[in-house]
Amino acid sequence: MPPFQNSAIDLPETKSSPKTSTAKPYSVIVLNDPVNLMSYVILIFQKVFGFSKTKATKHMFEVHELGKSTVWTGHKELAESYLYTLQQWHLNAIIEQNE
Amino acid sequence: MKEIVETLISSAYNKLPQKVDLRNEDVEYVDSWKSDLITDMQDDYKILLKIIRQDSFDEGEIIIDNNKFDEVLRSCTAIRLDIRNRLLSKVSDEELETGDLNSLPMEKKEQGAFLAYIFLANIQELIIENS
Repeated sequence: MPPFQNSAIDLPETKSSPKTSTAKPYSVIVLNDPVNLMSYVILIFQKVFGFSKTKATKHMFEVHELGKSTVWTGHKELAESYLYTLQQWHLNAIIEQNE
Repeated sequence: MKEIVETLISSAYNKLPQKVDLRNEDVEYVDSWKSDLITDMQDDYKILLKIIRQDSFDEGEIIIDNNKFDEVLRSCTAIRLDIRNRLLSKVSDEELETGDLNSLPMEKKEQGAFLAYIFLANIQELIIENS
């Protein structure tokens, strides 16, 4: 596999909490940090979510200028998998249940 | 630079470089999550250590197989975060971005950390450019 192909990477096994089940979706939110390179953040968004470079760049600038960007919304278990993967890449990320 | 990076990896080896906020009160679950992240991070560090211990590194050349790019990128980030939080916490973001070492009141240990911070960022940029 080429190192930076423009498609989503394999996600780790889902790490689900024992007491979860709700219909409300969860959002994966990436927060700003002063260390990670812009090009690095763009690359990770492309690799993890399969974003195009344009979309990844848009989210990177949201993080950089607004302090955060919601990069994915959906089921809790998958949100947790994405969160774990982003944390493996040392991005500052959280998940939040939508109102 | 090899010795500096080895020392930095050694210092950062057993803890995550930044806070992990899971918003989950299940302590066992959170501990397991963090432990898995640390194990993954240590696997990445092992790859970076192998690379900087190559003979070619002493001769000013860094050779990275393209199937190890991800591990190197992640480990460079982890060390840079650790340097930022632990050794360069007094330096402002702006000062760090401009990178003017002479204008910053640093001790020798901090200067070495700063150089490693820049060096690792350069490796990351090269990997990203050449991918």
